Amino acid sequence: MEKKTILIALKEDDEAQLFTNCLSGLNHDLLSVKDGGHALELALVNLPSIFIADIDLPVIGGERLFQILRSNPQTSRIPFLFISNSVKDIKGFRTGIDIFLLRPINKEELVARVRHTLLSKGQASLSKGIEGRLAHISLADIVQFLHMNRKEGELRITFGELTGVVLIKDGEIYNAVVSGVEKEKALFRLLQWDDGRFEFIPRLVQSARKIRSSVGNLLMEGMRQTDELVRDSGQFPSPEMTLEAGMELSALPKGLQPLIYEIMQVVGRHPRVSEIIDRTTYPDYEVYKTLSSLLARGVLLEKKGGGLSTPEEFLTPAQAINIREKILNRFSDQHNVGYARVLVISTSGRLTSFFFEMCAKLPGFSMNQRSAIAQVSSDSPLGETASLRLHGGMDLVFFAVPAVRNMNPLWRSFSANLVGVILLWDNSATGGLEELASVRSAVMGLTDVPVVNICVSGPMSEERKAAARRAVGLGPDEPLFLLRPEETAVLQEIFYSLFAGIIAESPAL
Amino acid sequence: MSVKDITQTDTEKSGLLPGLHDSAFVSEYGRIETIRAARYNTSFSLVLVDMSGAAGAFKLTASAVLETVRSCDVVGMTEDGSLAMVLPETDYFGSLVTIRKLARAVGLAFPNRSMPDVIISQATFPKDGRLYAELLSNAGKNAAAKRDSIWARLELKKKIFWEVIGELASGAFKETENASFDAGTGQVLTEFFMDQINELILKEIARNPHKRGIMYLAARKVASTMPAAKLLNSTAAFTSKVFLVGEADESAWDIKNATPIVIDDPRFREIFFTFYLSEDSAYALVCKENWGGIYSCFHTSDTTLVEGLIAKFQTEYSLQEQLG
Repeated sequence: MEKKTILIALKEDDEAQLFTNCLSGLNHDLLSVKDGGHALELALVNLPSIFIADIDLPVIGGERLFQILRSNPQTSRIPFLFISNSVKDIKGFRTGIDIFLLRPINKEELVARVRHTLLSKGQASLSKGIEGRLAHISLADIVQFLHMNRKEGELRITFGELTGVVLIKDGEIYNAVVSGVEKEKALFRLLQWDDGRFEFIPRLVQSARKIRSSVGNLLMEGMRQTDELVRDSGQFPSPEMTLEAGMELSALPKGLQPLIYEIMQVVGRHPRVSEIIDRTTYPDYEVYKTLSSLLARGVLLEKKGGGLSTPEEFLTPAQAINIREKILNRFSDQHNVGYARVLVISTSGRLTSFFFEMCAKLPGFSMNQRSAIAQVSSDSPLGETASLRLHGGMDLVFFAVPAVRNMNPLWRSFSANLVGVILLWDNSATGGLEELASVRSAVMGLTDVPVVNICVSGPMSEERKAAARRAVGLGPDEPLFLLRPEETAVLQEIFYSLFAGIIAESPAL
Repeated sequence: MSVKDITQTDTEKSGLLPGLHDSAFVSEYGRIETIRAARYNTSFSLVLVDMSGAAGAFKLTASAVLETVRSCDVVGMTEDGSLAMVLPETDYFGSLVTIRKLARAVGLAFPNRSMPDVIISQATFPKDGRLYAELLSNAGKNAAAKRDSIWARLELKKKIFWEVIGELASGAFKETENASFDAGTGQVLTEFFMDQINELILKEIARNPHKRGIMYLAARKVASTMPAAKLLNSTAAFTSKVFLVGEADESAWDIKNATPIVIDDPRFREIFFTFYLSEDSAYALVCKENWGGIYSCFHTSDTTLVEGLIAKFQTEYSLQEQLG
């Protein structure tokens, strides 16, 4: 048997001697002191396996010693054997671990109780044998095992420099703590750990129950959230992104999820996403999901200069929110609208490429470069060619189609989420204007979305302008934009016109 | 009033087929289903069987329909005499499968006589509307589109797959909705047009990775060097199913996100096609190679035709009947 330390703190020398004589047969190290001050010092240095303490010790009383050592994590698990002249109610007394003996002391009983305690403690330390690596058995399996066997104690998990604790009583999870967070949030984080060491320490759990759900529900929900967090992580704001409130907390309607109010309170002081995640009480996945939703709805805004780029230079946040909301209002299945489409119908691939090259100067605009036939795609863009990050993860996707009548099936097939059309031609497209007019007529006959007309040309006389308008079939009220290289101001006007058309109330597609 | 009286529907009381409800009942059920689907963020479908072409065969047709639907589906009459079916927890593709089953069941119900001209269409919540009346209206529009479809007009249903392909690639169509055109050397559309179309569709799939869809891409040779394969290999996983059809070399099995269907058929050396069907899009492109690098192409956005082509192709090569 492993040699252990027994600390005896009795104020009477005779009694201390008697105890020493009785317990020396157990073949353990015995330490004896006469007052509470020395006892405390020895306890902290030697971490005894059992502490035999007189209730009426000088300097620090036995009961006070017990409470001091209980509050220290290093010594909290030391069993106490109290010796007293009278019955006393000791606060925090752990039935089954601590012992209370009244004088006169029966020597046989004393030895038996000490031996039993040391043996139990030995077994308890042996129960550290329920330890291992999470790479071999998952935390969910361990928790299920402890639940099935109705265990009580502390499950300690270490992963790198992080340590998490799950408190279990009667097989139920009472609380979990990791990195300064607790309850379900901590438990779900721990469930994500797939490596590290675990150790189950059987002990009395006396802290209040903070997790009320059953183990089955917790594990199911935790695993679901873990899976979905991994799956959807690409759609969530990055932890480095900084946010700000798009509206006052007081302006939020009543009756929303409590988490929304909590996020809005936190975001003012801690704008970084990682901080918001850590400082809110709800599980990480729920916070990420709510953050995405609030960003998408414009309740939260990305702070300029961090994370995703937004076209703030030519769109204010309020305008961007408005555009996004109007786009969403056009569709019946709003939950699945992550992008909106703008058809770019052009009389030549060269023109389409030119237009997108100009647009590339706009903040938030990006070309879709993925193509195995890059040269062809560059000369004659077809399909999704570019996108403009609008607001809160909403993309405006530009879908290029040649202005040829027999290409109508193409844009008809891929006009889901259509919110606008850009018609593009130049002065050399005399033969193509008839086709363009035909395509324009077909588009307008099928959908009710704003159409922006762009002629890539230098300054034109009013006559030529009128002729161009007639050729394409523009009405007198429909604006015609003349676009020239380096005319970024006109480009912004073009987009304002498109956005104005989207914002204007119009029936759904 | 007895329990039996309470549980009987009006139609049962009036002596019509058991399980066939009246229009008031199915409308109310549909209305409640829209509320339920909105509450739980799920989908359901409405299938409409237009019986106007089934004069004199109503009872047999309706019986076939009632025997085919699931016990959770609710079937009722509409005010214009069609059959409306509310299919709980059924998305767009689920409703297409139901339509296939219903069409087959109705066909089997008339073994010795010509099948009545019933048009079966669908609408899905919330894509086609959030109100029952909207869904009913859109299902009606889909029925009209089916009736006007090139599939119905040319009676392609009665032809085998390669007959249909031959007819479409012949260049006989001049309509803009279902257009024919040439692509290749010296043409406005280059011979890379087909590759561009395939890329366009794959980008579309990648943009909606969680949406169901199906794509058949038939090429002369399926290999990892084909442009579509390069894009597939660099795309994250998605829900849509992509099948690459044709002769294949060893590298075909290394293409990610796609299943090769190896078919040694000489017709794939001169005719290439792409069929794509999703909740939002239906597109088919059929190209036949002529001399001089010129391709005669046909393409369409007709959902009925695309769905019919996929069904014919699956039947022709004994492939698993599946949609998305």
